[in-house]
Amino acid sequence: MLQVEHLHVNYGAISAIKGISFTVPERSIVTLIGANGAGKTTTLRTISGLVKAASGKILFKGEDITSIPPHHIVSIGISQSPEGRMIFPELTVLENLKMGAYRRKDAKGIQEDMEYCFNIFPRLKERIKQAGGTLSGGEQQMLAIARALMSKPSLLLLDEPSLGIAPLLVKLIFEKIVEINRDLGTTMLLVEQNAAMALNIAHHAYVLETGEITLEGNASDLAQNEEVQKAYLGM
Amino acid sequence: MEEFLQQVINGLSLGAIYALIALGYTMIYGVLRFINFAHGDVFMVGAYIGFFIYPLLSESLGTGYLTAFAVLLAAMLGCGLLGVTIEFLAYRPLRNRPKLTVLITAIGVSLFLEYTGQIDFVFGADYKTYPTLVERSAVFSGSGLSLGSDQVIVFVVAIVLMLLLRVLVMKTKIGIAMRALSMNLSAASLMGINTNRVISFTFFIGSALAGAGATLYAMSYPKINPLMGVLPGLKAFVAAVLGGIGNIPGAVFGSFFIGTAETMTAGYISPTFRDAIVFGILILILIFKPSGLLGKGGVEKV
Ligand SMILES: Nc1ncnc2c1ncn2[C@@H]1O[C@H](COP(=O)(O)OP(=O)(O)OP(=O)(O)O)[C@@H](O)[C@H]1O
Ligand SMILES: [Mg+2]
Repeated sequence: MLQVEHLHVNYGAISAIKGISFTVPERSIVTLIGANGAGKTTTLRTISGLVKAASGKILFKGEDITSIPPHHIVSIGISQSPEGRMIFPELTVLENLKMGAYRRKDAKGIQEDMEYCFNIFPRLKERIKQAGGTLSGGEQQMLAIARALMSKPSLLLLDEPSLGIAPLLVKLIFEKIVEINRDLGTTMLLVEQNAAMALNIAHHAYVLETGEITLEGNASDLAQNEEVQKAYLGM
Repeated sequence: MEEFLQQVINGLSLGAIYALIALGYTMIYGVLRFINFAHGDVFMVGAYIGFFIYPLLSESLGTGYLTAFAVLLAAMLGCGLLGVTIEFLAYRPLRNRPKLTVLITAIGVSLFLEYTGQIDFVFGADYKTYPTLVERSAVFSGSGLSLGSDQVIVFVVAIVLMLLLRVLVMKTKIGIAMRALSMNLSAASLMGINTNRVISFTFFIGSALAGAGATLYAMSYPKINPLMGVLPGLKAFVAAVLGGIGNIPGAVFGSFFIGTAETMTAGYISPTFRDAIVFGILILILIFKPSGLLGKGGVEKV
Protein backbone atom coordinates (compact mmCIF):
# COMPACT_ATOMS: atom_id res chain seq x y z
CA MET A 1 0.00 0.00 0.00
CA LEU A 2 2.81 2.39 0.91
CA GLN A 3 6.27 2.22 -0.59
CA VAL A 4 9.07 4.53 0.43
CA GLU A 5 12.07 4.43 -1.89
CA HIS A 6 15.51 5.93 -1.22
CA LEU A 7 14.00 8.81 0.72
CA HIS A 8 16.30 11.68 1.73
CA VAL A 9 15.12 14.56 3.91
CA ASN A 10 17.19 17.54 5.02
CA TYR A 11 16.63 20.38 7.44
CA GLY A 12 18.85 23.07 5.96
CA ALA A 13 22.35 21.60 6.08
CA ILE A 14 21.34 18.77 8.43
CA SER A 15 20.54 15.48 6.81
CA ALA A 16 17.80 13.83 8.89
CA ILE A 17 16.81 10.93 6.62
CA LYS A 18 19.54 9.33 4.55
CA GLY A 19 18.01 7.22 1.83
CA ILE A 20 15.58 4.93 3.59
CA SER A 21 13.33 2.42 1.84
CA PHE A 22 10.50 0.42 3.35
CA THR A 23 7.05 -0.88 2.49
CA VAL A 24 3.77 -1.12 4.35
CA PRO A 25 1.52 -3.86 2.93
CA GLU A 26 -2.24 -3.41 2.88
CA ARG A 27 -4.06 -4.18 6.15
CA SER A 28 -0.82 -4.71 8.05
CA ILE A 29 0.69 -2.98 11.06
CA VAL A 30 4.26 -1.96 10.36
CA THR A 31 6.41 -0.34 12.98
CA LEU A 32 9.42 1.91 12.69
CA ILE A 33 11.37 1.85 15.94
CA GLY A 34 14.33 3.98 16.86
CA ALA A 35 15.88 6.18 19.51
CA ASN A 36 15.52 9.93 20.02
CA GLY A 37 16.39 11.88 16.93
CA ALA A 38 16.54 8.82 14.66
CA GLY A 39 14.22 10.51 12.17
CA LYS A 40 10.92 8.75 12.89
CA THR A 41 8.81 11.91 13.10
CA THR A 42 10.55 13.35 10.07
CA THR A 43 9.60 10.25 8.07
CA LEU A 44 5.92 10.57 9.00
CA ARG A 45 5.86 14.32 8.41
CA THR A 46 7.34 13.78 4.98
CA ILE A 47 4.72 11.17 4.09
CA SER A 48 2.02 13.61 5.24
CA GLY A 49 3.50 16.33 3.07
CA LEU A 50 4.44 18.68 5.90
CA VAL A 51 8.14 18.36 5.09
CA LYS A 52 9.58 18.25 1.57
CA ALA A 53 11.68 15.29 0.52
CA ALA A 54 15.12 16.18 -0.84
CA SER A 55 15.07 13.11 -3.08
CA GLY A 56 13.52 9.68 -3.31
CA LYS A 57 9.95 8.61 -3.79
CA ILE A 58 6.85 7.90 -1.76
CA LEU A 59 4.30 5.73 -3.51
CA PHE A 60 0.77 5.18 -2.22
CA LYS A 61 -1.40 2.59 -3.97
CA GLY A 62 1.14 2.73 -6.75
CA GLU A 63 0.96 6.50 -7.24
CA ASP A 64 3.75 8.95 -6.59
CA ILE A 65 2.66 11.25 -3.76
CA THR A 66 6.08 12.69 -2.95
CA SER A 67 5.30 16.37 -3.44
CA ILE A 68 1.58 16.52 -2.78
CA PRO A 69 0.37 19.18 -0.29
CA PRO A 70 -0.81 17.91 3.12
CA HIS A 71 -4.53 18.50 2.58
CA HIS A 72 -4.51 16.33 -0.56
CA ILE A 73 -2.68 13.59 1.29
CA VAL A 74 -5.65 13.43 3.66
CA SER A 75 -8.07 13.32 0.72
CA ILE A 76 -6.37 10.30 -0.84
CA GLY A 77 -6.65 8.34 2.40
CA ILE A 78 -3.63 8.96 4.63
CA SER A 79 -4.07 10.54 8.03
CA GLN A 80 -1.82 11.02 11.00
CA SER A 81 -2.02 11.06 14.76
CA PRO A 82 1.00 13.31 15.33
CA GLU A 83 3.71 13.25 17.96
CA GLY A 84 2.63 15.15 21.05
CA ARG A 85 -1.00 14.61 19.96
CA MET A 86 -1.56 18.20 18.77
CA ILE A 87 -5.14 18.35 19.94
CA PHE A 88 -6.79 21.72 19.29
CA PRO A 89 -6.88 22.80 22.93
CA GLU A 90 -9.74 25.30 22.77
CA LEU A 91 -11.98 23.22 20.53
CA THR A 92 -14.31 20.72 22.15
CA VAL A 93 -13.85 16.98 21.71
CA LEU A 94 -16.69 17.05 19.18
CA GLU A 95 -15.19 19.95 17.24
CA ASN A 96 -11.80 18.21 17.20
CA LEU A 97 -13.45 15.14 15.69
CA LYS A 98 -15.32 17.26 13.16
CA MET A 99 -12.03 18.79 12.06
CA GLY A 100 -10.78 15.26 11.48
CA ALA A 101 -13.64 14.83 9.01
CA TYR A 102 -12.95 18.20 7.39
CA ARG A 103 -12.73 16.96 3.82
CA ARG A 104 -15.74 14.69 3.98
CA LYS A 105 -19.22 15.61 2.84
CA ASP A 106 -21.10 12.38 3.70
CA ALA A 107 -22.89 13.44 6.89
CA LYS A 108 -24.23 9.95 7.49
CA GLY A 109 -20.84 8.28 7.12
CA ILE A 110 -19.29 10.87 9.42
CA GLN A 111 -21.92 10.12 12.04
CA GLU A 112 -21.29 6.37 11.78
CA ASP A 113 -17.55 6.79 12.11
CA MET A 114 -18.03 9.03 15.10
CA GLU A 115 -20.15 6.32 16.69
CA TYR A 116 -17.35 3.85 16.01
CA CYS A 117 -14.82 6.15 17.70
CA PHE A 118 -17.06 6.52 20.75
CA ASN A 119 -17.45 2.78 20.78
CA ILE A 120 -13.74 2.09 21.03
CA PHE A 121 -13.05 5.13 23.24
CA PRO A 122 -16.16 5.58 25.42
CA ARG A 123 -14.30 8.15 27.49
CA LEU A 124 -14.41 10.54 24.56
CA LYS A 125 -18.17 10.32 24.40
CA GLU A 126 -18.43 11.27 28.07
CA ARG A 127 -16.30 14.33 27.38
CA ILE A 128 -17.82 15.39 24.10
CA LYS A 129 -18.39 19.03 25.09
CA GLN A 130 -15.15 19.39 27.01
CA ALA A 131 -12.29 21.50 25.60
CA GLY A 132 -9.56 19.28 24.15
CA GLY A 133 -6.89 21.01 26.22
CA THR A 134 -8.55 19.95 29.47
CA LEU A 135 -8.32 16.20 28.70
CA SER A 136 -5.67 14.06 30.36
CA GLY A 137 -2.70 12.98 28.28
CA GLY A 138 -4.15 9.52 27.68
CA GLU A 139 -7.52 10.92 26.69
CA GLN A 140 -5.82 13.36 24.33
CA GLN A 141 -4.06 10.43 22.70
CA MET A 142 -7.38 8.66 22.25
CA LEU A 143 -8.79 11.84 20.74
CA ALA A 144 -5.81 12.19 18.41
CA ILE A 145 -6.32 8.66 17.10
CA ALA A 146 -10.09 9.09 16.83
CA ARG A 147 -9.65 12.43 15.06
CA ALA A 148 -7.29 10.83 12.56
CA LEU A 149 -9.84 8.04 11.97
CA MET A 150 -12.55 10.58 11.18
CA SER A 151 -11.09 11.15 7.72
CA LYS A 152 -11.73 7.44 7.02
CA PRO A 153 -8.11 6.76 6.14
CA SER A 154 -6.89 3.61 4.47
CA LEU A 155 -3.43 4.29 5.96
CA LEU A 156 -3.06 5.61 9.49
CA LEU A 157 0.27 7.06 10.62
CA LEU A 158 0.78 6.91 14.37
CA ASP A 159 3.63 8.91 15.90
CA GLU A 160 4.54 7.65 19.38
CA PRO A 161 1.09 7.04 20.81
CA SER A 162 2.78 5.86 24.05
CA LEU A 163 4.57 9.16 24.65
CA GLY A 164 4.11 10.47 28.19
CA ILE A 165 1.26 8.11 29.07
CA ALA A 166 0.88 5.76 32.05
CA PRO A 167 1.77 2.13 31.20
CA LEU A 168 -1.78 0.86 31.77
CA LEU A 169 -3.22 3.36 29.32
CA VAL A 170 -0.47 2.58 26.84
CA LYS A 171 -1.57 -1.03 26.94
CA LEU A 172 -5.20 -0.02 26.37
CA ILE A 173 -4.34 2.25 23.47
CA PHE A 174 -2.25 -0.43 21.78
CA GLU A 175 -5.11 -2.88 22.14
CA LYS A 176 -7.37 -0.35 20.45
CA ILE A 177 -4.91 0.07 17.63
CA VAL A 178 -5.05 -3.67 16.99
CA GLU A 179 -8.83 -3.55 17.24
CA ILE A 180 -9.10 -0.75 14.69
CA ASN A 181 -6.77 -2.60 12.34
CA ARG A 182 -8.92 -5.71 12.67
CA ASP A 183 -12.37 -4.00 12.53
CA LEU A 184 -11.75 -1.49 9.76
CA GLY A 185 -8.83 -3.08 7.95
CA THR A 186 -6.93 0.19 8.34
CA THR A 187 -3.28 -0.16 7.42
CA MET A 188 -1.00 1.23 10.15
CA LEU A 189 2.47 2.69 10.18
CA LEU A 190 3.42 2.96 13.83
CA VAL A 191 6.45 4.92 14.96
CA GLU A 192 7.68 4.13 18.47
CA GLN A 193 10.46 4.45 20.98
CA ASN A 194 8.61 1.91 23.10
CA ALA A 195 9.92 -0.99 21.03
CA ALA A 196 8.53 -3.72 23.27
CA MET A 197 4.95 -2.55 22.83
CA ALA A 198 5.36 -1.83 19.15
CA LEU A 199 6.98 -5.18 18.30
CA ASN A 200 4.24 -6.88 20.24
CA ILE A 201 1.43 -5.67 17.99
CA ALA A 202 3.20 -5.14 14.66
CA HIS A 203 3.51 -7.63 11.84
CA HIS A 204 6.66 -6.22 10.37
CA ALA A 205 9.30 -3.92 11.80
CA TYR A 206 12.13 -1.63 10.74
CA VAL A 207 14.85 -0.22 12.95
CA LEU A 208 15.82 3.36 12.21
CA GLU A 209 19.16 4.74 13.43
CA THR A 210 20.24 8.31 12.70
CA GLY A 211 18.35 8.48 9.47
CA GLU A 212 19.16 5.00 8.18
CA ILE A 213 17.37 1.68 8.37
CA THR A 214 19.74 -0.78 9.99
CA LEU A 215 17.51 -3.81 10.53
CA GLU A 216 14.21 -5.10 9.34
CA GLY A 217 12.13 -8.21 9.65
CA ASN A 218 9.14 -9.95 11.01
CA ALA A 219 8.22 -8.19 14.28
CA SER A 220 8.41 -11.32 16.41
CA ASP A 221 11.79 -12.25 14.89
CA LEU A 222 13.16 -8.78 15.62
CA ALA A 223 11.94 -9.03 19.19
CA GLN A 224 14.24 -12.09 19.49
CA ASN A 225 17.17 -10.33 17.81
CA GLU A 226 20.07 -9.82 20.21
CA GLU A 227 21.01 -6.35 19.01
CA VAL A 228 17.42 -5.19 19.23
CA GLN A 229 17.04 -6.68 22.68
CA LYS A 230 20.15 -4.88 23.89
CA ALA A 231 19.52 -1.53 22.28
CA TYR A 232 15.73 -1.20 22.43
CA LEU A 233 14.27 -3.74 24.79
CA GLY A 234 16.64 -3.14 27.69
CA MET A 235 17.60 -6.80 28.02
CA MET B 1 -24.62 63.81 34.09
CA GLU B 2 -26.14 64.39 30.64
CA GLU B 3 -22.78 65.40 29.35
CA PHE B 4 -21.25 62.26 30.77
CA LEU B 5 -23.91 60.08 29.14
CA GLN B 6 -23.42 61.95 25.92
CA GLN B 7 -19.70 61.20 26.02
CA VAL B 8 -20.46 57.54 26.68
CA ILE B 9 -22.76 57.40 23.63
CA ASN B 10 -20.20 59.14 21.46
CA GLY B 11 -17.45 56.92 22.82
CA LEU B 12 -19.33 53.70 22.21
CA SER B 13 -20.25 54.68 18.68
CA LEU B 14 -16.62 55.53 17.95
CA GLY B 15 -15.63 52.29 19.69
CA ALA B 16 -18.02 50.28 17.52
CA ILE B 17 -16.16 51.53 14.45
CA TYR B 18 -12.77 50.76 16.02
CA ALA B 19 -14.08 47.30 16.82
CA LEU B 20 -14.79 46.58 13.16
CA ILE B 21 -11.18 47.50 12.36
CA ALA B 22 -9.67 45.82 15.41
CA LEU B 23 -11.34 42.50 14.55
CA GLY B 24 -9.31 42.34 11.35
CA TYR B 25 -6.03 42.88 13.19
CA THR B 26 -6.83 40.26 15.73
CA MET B 27 -8.16 37.62 13.29
CA ILE B 28 -5.20 37.99 10.98
CA TYR B 29 -2.85 37.86 13.94
CA GLY B 30 -4.68 34.72 15.03
CA VAL B 31 -3.89 32.80 11.86
CA LEU B 32 -0.53 34.26 10.84
CA ARG B 33 0.94 35.63 14.09
CA PHE B 34 1.84 39.01 12.70
CA ILE B 35 0.36 42.51 12.71
CA ASN B 36 -0.95 43.50 9.31
CA PHE B 37 0.18 47.11 9.37
CA ALA B 38 -1.54 47.74 6.04
CA HIS B 39 -4.93 47.11 7.66
CA GLY B 40 -5.60 50.81 8.36
CA ASP B 41 -4.94 51.58 4.71
CA VAL B 42 -7.33 48.86 3.56
CA PHE B 43 -9.83 50.74 5.75
CA MET B 44 -8.97 53.96 3.90
CA VAL B 45 -9.58 52.31 0.53
CA GLY B 46 -12.99 51.28 1.86
CA ALA B 47 -13.93 54.94 2.26
CA TYR B 48 -12.86 55.69 -1.33
CA ILE B 49 -14.82 52.74 -2.66
CA GLY B 50 -17.94 54.35 -1.15
CA PHE B 51 -16.93 57.75 -2.47
CA PHE B 52 -16.58 56.53 -6.04
CA ILE B 53 -19.43 54.04 -6.15
CA TYR B 54 -22.10 56.18 -4.49
CA PRO B 55 -22.82 58.36 -7.58
CA LEU B 56 -23.21 55.22 -9.71
CA LEU B 57 -25.43 53.44 -7.22
CA SER B 58 -27.60 56.42 -6.36
CA GLU B 59 -28.35 56.87 -10.04
CA SER B 60 -30.12 53.55 -10.23
CA LEU B 61 -31.15 52.99 -6.62
CA GLY B 62 -32.00 56.53 -5.52
CA THR B 63 -30.69 58.08 -2.34
CA GLY B 64 -32.30 56.05 0.39
CA TYR B 65 -31.25 53.30 2.77
CA LEU B 66 -31.02 50.78 -0.04
CA THR B 67 -28.19 52.74 -1.63
CA ALA B 68 -26.49 53.20 1.73
CA PHE B 69 -26.67 49.45 2.24
CA ALA B 70 -25.33 48.78 -1.27
CA VAL B 71 -22.42 51.15 -0.59
CA LEU B 72 -21.68 49.28 2.62
CA LEU B 73 -21.67 45.94 0.79
CA ALA B 74 -19.51 47.32 -2.02
CA ALA B 75 -16.95 48.65 0.46
CA MET B 76 -16.92 45.32 2.30
CA LEU B 77 -16.52 43.30 -0.87
CA GLY B 78 -13.86 45.64 -2.30
CA CYS B 79 -11.83 45.69 0.91
CA GLY B 80 -12.21 41.95 1.31
CA LEU B 81 -10.78 41.35 -2.15
CA LEU B 82 -8.01 43.89 -1.53
CA GLY B 83 -7.07 42.07 1.68
CA VAL B 84 -6.97 38.71 -0.09
CA THR B 85 -4.83 40.19 -2.87
CA ILE B 86 -2.37 41.76 -0.43
CA GLU B 87 -1.99 38.46 1.40
CA PHE B 88 -1.52 36.55 -1.83
CA LEU B 89 1.00 38.90 -3.42
CA ALA B 90 2.91 40.24 -0.43
CA TYR B 91 2.66 37.87 2.51
CA ARG B 92 2.21 34.38 1.10
CA PRO B 93 5.60 34.27 -0.64
CA LEU B 94 7.14 35.02 2.78
CA ARG B 95 5.24 32.31 4.65
CA ASN B 96 8.34 30.54 5.96
CA ARG B 97 10.45 33.64 6.51
CA PRO B 98 11.11 35.32 9.86
CA LYS B 99 8.17 37.33 11.19
CA LEU B 100 10.22 40.53 11.02
CA THR B 101 10.46 40.18 7.23
CA VAL B 102 6.69 39.94 6.94
CA LEU B 103 6.22 42.84 9.35
CA ILE B 104 8.48 45.10 7.31
CA THR B 105 6.66 44.01 4.17
CA ALA B 106 3.35 44.98 5.81
CA ILE B 107 4.75 48.44 6.49
CA GLY B 108 5.82 48.58 2.85
CA VAL B 109 2.32 47.66 1.68
CA SER B 110 0.91 50.32 3.99
CA LEU B 111 3.16 53.02 2.55
CA PHE B 112 2.41 51.79 -0.96
CA LEU B 113 -1.35 52.23 -0.44
CA GLU B 114 -0.95 55.60 1.26
CA TYR B 115 1.33 57.10 -1.37
CA THR B 116 -0.29 55.50 -4.41
CA GLY B 117 -3.55 56.88 -3.06
CA GLN B 118 -2.12 60.37 -3.07
CA ILE B 119 -1.32 60.33 -6.78
CA ASP B 120 -3.70 62.70 -8.58
CA PHE B 121 -5.27 60.19 -10.91
CA VAL B 122 -5.74 57.65 -8.11
CA PHE B 123 -7.47 59.31 -5.13
CA GLY B 124 -5.51 62.56 -4.94
CA ALA B 125 -3.81 63.96 -1.85
CA ASP B 126 -6.53 66.51 -1.04
CA TYR B 127 -9.55 66.00 1.18
CA LYS B 128 -12.70 64.78 -0.53
CA THR B 129 -16.18 65.00 0.93
CA TYR B 130 -17.80 61.63 1.44
CA PRO B 131 -21.41 61.56 0.20
CA THR B 132 -24.23 61.80 2.72
CA LEU B 133 -25.48 58.23 2.68
CA VAL B 134 -28.23 58.88 5.20
CA GLU B 135 -29.62 62.29 6.15
CA ARG B 136 -28.66 62.98 9.72
CA SER B 137 -31.54 63.46 12.10
CA ALA B 138 -31.88 63.34 15.85
CA VAL B 139 -33.42 60.06 16.95
CA PHE B 140 -33.50 61.37 20.44
CA SER B 141 -32.67 64.79 21.80
CA GLY B 142 -33.48 66.77 24.83
CA SER B 143 -32.02 67.89 28.15
CA GLY B 144 -28.55 68.15 26.68
CA LEU B 145 -28.50 64.60 25.35
CA SER B 146 -28.72 63.63 21.70
CA LEU B 147 -28.52 60.47 19.71
CA GLY B 148 -28.10 60.92 15.98
CA SER B 149 -29.49 58.60 13.32
CA ASP B 150 -25.92 58.09 12.15
CA GLN B 151 -24.97 56.81 15.59
CA VAL B 152 -27.90 54.42 15.64
CA ILE B 153 -26.84 53.11 12.24
CA VAL B 154 -23.27 52.68 13.47
CA PHE B 155 -24.47 50.65 16.45
CA VAL B 156 -26.90 48.52 14.49
CA VAL B 157 -24.51 47.72 11.63
CA ALA B 158 -21.56 47.07 13.94
CA ILE B 159 -23.50 44.85 16.29
CA VAL B 160 -25.15 42.86 13.50
CA LEU B 161 -21.75 42.29 11.85
CA MET B 162 -20.16 41.25 15.14
CA LEU B 163 -22.96 38.78 15.81
CA LEU B 164 -22.62 37.36 12.31
CA LEU B 165 -18.89 37.04 12.85
CA ARG B 166 -19.48 35.23 16.09
CA VAL B 167 -21.76 32.70 14.41
CA LEU B 168 -19.25 32.30 11.59
CA VAL B 169 -16.31 31.68 13.91
CA MET B 170 -18.06 29.53 16.49
CA LYS B 171 -20.52 27.48 14.44
CA THR B 172 -19.48 27.07 10.83
CA LYS B 173 -16.99 24.53 9.58
CA ILE B 174 -14.69 27.15 8.06
CA GLY B 175 -14.91 29.24 11.23
CA ILE B 176 -13.91 26.29 13.39
CA ALA B 177 -11.12 25.56 10.91
CA MET B 178 -9.97 29.16 11.31
CA ARG B 179 -9.73 28.69 15.06
CA ALA B 180 -8.07 25.30 14.68
CA LEU B 181 -5.49 26.84 12.39
CA SER B 182 -4.77 29.63 14.86
CA MET B 183 -4.15 27.00 17.56
CA ASN B 184 -1.90 24.72 15.55
CA LEU B 185 -1.13 25.24 11.89
CA SER B 186 0.48 21.89 11.15
CA ALA B 187 -2.22 19.97 13.00
CA ALA B 188 -4.76 21.86 10.88
CA SER B 189 -2.96 20.71 7.70
CA LEU B 190 -3.03 17.14 9.00
CA MET B 191 -6.83 17.40 9.21
CA GLY B 192 -6.91 18.06 5.48
CA ILE B 193 -7.58 21.77 5.95
CA ASN B 194 -6.24 23.77 3.04
CA THR B 195 -4.49 26.30 5.25
CA ASN B 196 -3.82 28.81 2.48
CA ARG B 197 -7.48 28.90 1.63
CA VAL B 198 -8.49 29.46 5.25
CA ILE B 199 -5.87 32.21 5.56
CA SER B 200 -7.30 33.91 2.43
CA PHE B 201 -10.76 33.61 3.88
CA THR B 202 -9.59 35.19 7.13
CA PHE B 203 -8.09 38.11 5.23
CA PHE B 204 -11.33 38.47 3.31
CA ILE B 205 -13.50 38.63 6.41
CA GLY B 206 -11.10 40.82 8.41
CA SER B 207 -10.67 43.28 5.55
CA ALA B 208 -14.39 43.32 4.74
CA LEU B 209 -15.08 44.32 8.33
CA ALA B 210 -12.59 47.17 7.90
CA GLY B 211 -14.55 48.17 4.77
CA ALA B 212 -17.74 48.28 6.84
CA GLY B 213 -15.90 50.30 9.50
CA ALA B 214 -14.72 52.73 6.83
CA THR B 215 -18.25 53.28 5.55
CA LEU B 216 -19.52 54.01 9.05
CA TYR B 217 -16.52 56.18 9.86
CA ALA B 218 -16.88 58.24 6.69
CA MET B 219 -20.59 58.69 7.39
CA SER B 220 -19.66 60.18 10.75
CA TYR B 221 -16.52 62.06 9.65
CA PRO B 222 -17.07 62.78 5.96
CA LYS B 223 -13.70 64.35 5.16
CA ILE B 224 -11.62 61.60 3.58
CA ASN B 225 -8.04 61.51 2.30
CA PRO B 226 -5.44 58.79 1.63
CA LEU B 227 -3.88 59.11 5.08
CA MET B 228 -7.19 58.87 6.93
CA GLY B 229 -6.55 55.22 7.84
CA VAL B 230 -3.41 55.88 9.85
CA LEU B 231 -4.88 57.08 13.13
CA PRO B 232 -8.03 54.91 13.27
CA GLY B 233 -5.83 51.99 12.22
CA LEU B 234 -3.36 52.62 15.03
CA LYS B 235 -6.11 53.13 17.59
CA ALA B 236 -7.89 49.94 16.57
CA PHE B 237 -4.53 48.18 16.82
CA VAL B 238 -4.14 49.52 20.37
CA ALA B 239 -7.68 48.30 21.10
CA ALA B 240 -6.80 44.82 19.81
CA VAL B 241 -3.67 44.75 21.96
CA LEU B 242 -5.63 46.01 24.95
CA GLY B 243 -8.13 43.17 24.58
CA GLY B 244 -5.38 40.62 23.99
CA ILE B 245 -4.25 40.26 20.40
CA GLY B 246 -5.73 37.18 18.75
CA ASN B 247 -8.75 37.31 21.05
CA ILE B 248 -11.96 38.23 19.21
CA PRO B 249 -14.19 39.29 22.15
CA GLY B 250 -11.11 41.08 23.53
CA ALA B 251 -10.84 43.22 20.41
CA VAL B 252 -14.47 44.30 20.77
CA PHE B 253 -14.06 45.06 24.44
CA GLY B 254 -10.79 46.94 23.86
CA SER B 255 -12.39 49.02 21.11
CA PHE B 256 -15.30 50.19 23.23
CA PHE B 257 -12.82 51.01 25.98
CA ILE B 258 -10.55 53.00 23.65
CA GLY B 259 -13.47 54.81 22.00
CA THR B 260 -14.89 55.87 25.35
CA ALA B 261 -11.49 56.85 26.76
CA GLU B 262 -10.92 58.98 23.70
CA THR B 263 -14.21 60.91 23.83
CA MET B 264 -13.98 61.30 27.61
CA THR B 265 -10.54 62.78 27.28
CA ALA B 266 -11.68 65.08 24.50
CA GLY B 267 -14.73 66.16 26.50
CA TYR B 268 -13.30 66.54 29.99
CA ILE B 269 -9.62 67.24 29.53
CA SER B 270 -8.87 68.66 26.13
CA PRO B 271 -9.47 67.58 22.53
CA THR B 272 -5.73 67.94 21.95
CA PHE B 273 -5.14 64.89 24.15
CA ARG B 274 -7.59 62.56 22.43
CA ASP B 275 -4.89 60.78 20.45
CA ALA B 276 -2.29 60.96 23.19
CA ILE B 277 -4.53 59.13 25.66
CA VAL B 278 -4.78 56.12 23.33
CA PHE B 279 -1.02 55.81 23.04
CA GLY B 280 -0.70 56.42 26.78
CA ILE B 281 -2.95 53.38 27.26
CA LEU B 282 -0.81 51.36 24.85
CA ILE B 283 2.32 52.16 26.84
CA LEU B 284 0.59 51.19 30.09
CA ILE B 285 -0.59 47.84 28.70
CA LEU B 286 2.80 47.03 27.28
CA ILE B 287 4.38 47.73 30.68
CA PHE B 288 1.85 46.09 32.97
CA LYS B 289 -0.08 43.48 31.00
CA PRO B 290 1.47 42.86 27.60
CA SER B 291 -0.85 39.91 26.92
CA GLY B 292 -3.81 42.30 27.09
CA LEU B 293 -6.70 42.44 29.52
CA LEU B 294 -8.43 39.32 28.19
CA GLY B 295 -5.30 37.73 26.74
CA LYS B 296 -3.70 34.52 27.86
CA GLY B 297 -0.29 34.33 29.47
CA GLY B 298 2.09 33.71 26.61
CA VAL B 299 3.44 36.76 24.84
CA GLU B 300 5.18 36.55 21.56
CA LYS B 301 7.42 39.31 20.30
CA VAL B 302 6.22 40.81 17.05
N1 LIG C 1 12.41 21.48 12.28
C1 LIG C 1 13.65 20.96 12.37
N2 LIG C 1 14.72 21.73 12.06
C2 LIG C 1 15.97 21.22 12.13
N3 LIG C 1 16.25 19.98 12.50
C3 LIG C 1 15.23 19.17 12.83
C4 LIG C 1 13.88 19.62 12.78
N4 LIG C 1 13.08 18.61 13.15
C5 LIG C 1 13.89 17.57 13.42
N5 LIG C 1 15.18 17.91 13.23
C6 LIG C 1 16.36 17.00 13.40
O1 LIG C 1 16.16 15.87 12.59
C7 LIG C 1 16.56 14.71 13.28
C8 LIG C 1 15.41 13.72 13.32
O2 LIG C 1 14.38 14.24 14.14
P1 LIG C 1 12.98 13.52 14.36
O3 LIG C 1 12.11 14.45 15.11
O4 LIG C 1 12.49 13.04 13.05
O5 LIG C 1 13.42 12.32 15.26
P2 LIG C 1 12.51 11.25 16.02
O6 LIG C 1 13.03 9.93 15.63
O7 LIG C 1 11.09 11.51 15.79
O8 LIG C 1 12.88 11.53 17.53
P3 LIG C 1 11.98 11.41 18.85
O9 LIG C 1 11.90 9.97 19.21
O10 LIG C 1 12.74 12.18 19.87
O11 LIG C 1 10.66 12.00 18.52
C9 LIG C 1 17.03 15.16 14.65
O12 LIG C 1 18.44 15.22 14.62
C10 LIG C 1 16.44 16.52 14.82
O13 LIG C 1 17.27 17.33 15.61
MG1 LIG D 1 9.57 11.94 16.99
